[in-house]
Amino acid sequence: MEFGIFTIGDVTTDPTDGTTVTEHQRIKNTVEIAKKTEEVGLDVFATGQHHNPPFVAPANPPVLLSNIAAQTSTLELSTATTLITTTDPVRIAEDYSYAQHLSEGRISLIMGRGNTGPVYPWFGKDIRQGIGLAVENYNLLYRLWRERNLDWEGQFRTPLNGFTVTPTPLDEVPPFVWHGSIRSPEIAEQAAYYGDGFFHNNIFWPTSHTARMVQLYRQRYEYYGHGKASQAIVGLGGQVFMRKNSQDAVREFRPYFDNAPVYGHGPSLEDFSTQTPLTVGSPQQVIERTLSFRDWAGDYQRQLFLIDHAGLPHKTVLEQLDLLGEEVIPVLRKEFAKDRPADVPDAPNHQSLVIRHREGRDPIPGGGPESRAFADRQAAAAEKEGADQA
Amino acid sequence: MSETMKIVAVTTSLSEDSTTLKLTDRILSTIASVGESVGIEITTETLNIRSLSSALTDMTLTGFRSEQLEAAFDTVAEADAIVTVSPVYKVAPVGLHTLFWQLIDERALTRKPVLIASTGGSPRHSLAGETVLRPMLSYLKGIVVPTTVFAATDDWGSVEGGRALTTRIRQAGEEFVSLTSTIIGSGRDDLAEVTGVPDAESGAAGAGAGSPAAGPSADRGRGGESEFDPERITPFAQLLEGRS
Repeated sequence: MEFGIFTIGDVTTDPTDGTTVTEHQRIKNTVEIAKKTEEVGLDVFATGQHHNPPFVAPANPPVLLSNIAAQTSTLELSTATTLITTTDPVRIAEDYSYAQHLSEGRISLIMGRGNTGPVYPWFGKDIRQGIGLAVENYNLLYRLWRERNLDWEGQFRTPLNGFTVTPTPLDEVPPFVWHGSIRSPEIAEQAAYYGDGFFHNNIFWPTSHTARMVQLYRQRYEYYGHGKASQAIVGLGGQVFMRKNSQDAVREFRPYFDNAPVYGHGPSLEDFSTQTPLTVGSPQQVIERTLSFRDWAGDYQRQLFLIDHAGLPHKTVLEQLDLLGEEVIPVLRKEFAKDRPADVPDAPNHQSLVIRHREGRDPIPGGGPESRAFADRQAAAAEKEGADQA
Repeated sequence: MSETMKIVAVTTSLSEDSTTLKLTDRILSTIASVGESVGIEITTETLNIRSLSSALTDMTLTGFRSEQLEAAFDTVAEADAIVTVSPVYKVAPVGLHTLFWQLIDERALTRKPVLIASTGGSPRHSLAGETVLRPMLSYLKGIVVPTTVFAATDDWGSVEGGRALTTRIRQAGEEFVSLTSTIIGSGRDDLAEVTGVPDAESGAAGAGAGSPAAGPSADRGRGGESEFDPERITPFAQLLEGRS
């Protein structure tokens, strides 16, 4: 199982002293946070994609991820998320391939549709087509990373004739892809269809809802014959703020919570902590809460924490990383490994994907001959043929 | 066989002994007596939106629904028919009341008769329910009964006003009960097909779902849940059609 952090790069005024970090400083801080993520022993740093203030998450995440790759050696570099709706799949294929080469295969992606309506028209797209764009664009991306001299025609971009991406993916194995969604069953279905991972950001919703989405993905993953439901690749988010002493954590975090752009001036910190996975308290409380995710999500592969938002000072964020690295993650690794069935896979990485590819075990989109999906397709085709003859 | 009918009143009563609550009680008891006179057993429940005010504000700001709010939405989903009662402020039902209907799931009122009632200081507010709530409730796929009830201060104070109000409540109540009874009594499965209502529970009820013994609750499903049902999801190949 891999552990890490994810950031949306928000530039938010610190409500306790009224200061606002500059964009330049926030970007430099982000690189420092990523480097520290590796230093303290975490596995993943993930960045969002943004095109509008008050966020400085990159418009093209491989720019930031490549810079971090050059300054780290083991850290897995991910997005959270890559906007599959408004970004040209050809550019995604080429830019992330390039970053994959630079980083020796340490790149993975979480696909998202974005939640800011205005972004769509900035790139000539229509938000009402959100799902259609996610479906068509990802299908194109999937093929671009696997086929040379591709002929393609779709609804949303100019056709391609004999097109080959450059560079092709490292070792001919594309970066691992997760599909992120908060509430669209179509996206859980999409992840299952391809045998890709499913990531739920798990921040603003009650666990009952997130559990429903994860279960849907797991069952459809099995339906498409990629493995048992318990072997599907699940990732979850979470947000935490810690101090050694839990009252100190609450006291220090409350003004940031109360004024945060997303939930500020709404529910109380206490209500929000009860109703969502937000945990503000001691490292032990964070450990217990995070371990409880397994009760409803099953054994899973990736856990990302949001720690650098709402105007928290850079120094505080680095302290949070120290606490995660020293007190939380080592215990989580040990506890999550307990009773984990041997046939539940670890989080995929480049090495494991290369082995899978060479052994001819790559997932077959829509399900191979052994799958229930395949049998259903055969049955439907036979029925149609029967009807046509009659 | 006697029918049973579950009525839920969604009322925004801002003080303990408000006229809105008084009107709610009168409408519910009239509905019960109309039901009794035609041999329908009626159960009633009142949801006071006042107790959900913080949860509604929180959901507006964060998109997050509290357990309490979820339970209230469930109560509406499980009802056969709805009575909505609200005070009118500045020629519109008070914002707290409309917020509840604005945040509930789309299609939450599918195939449910709805009776609109409101209270106000003067008769000049009497069309607020018609102009603001009727389109909103129709948007939620509710079947709004033709007669709405409005009670102004005069209606509680004068003999004529009281009589007129009683008559109007009786008329609205009769329309409401007869419409609800028609919908419950009609071939539920056929109707569900026509309106595209996902009947999440009928699968679980098995063979009993089609028989009269399964009663009115057989297809009272919640639209919100079945979209996450692995057996009902739109297969990806269908989403992908013409795109690869």
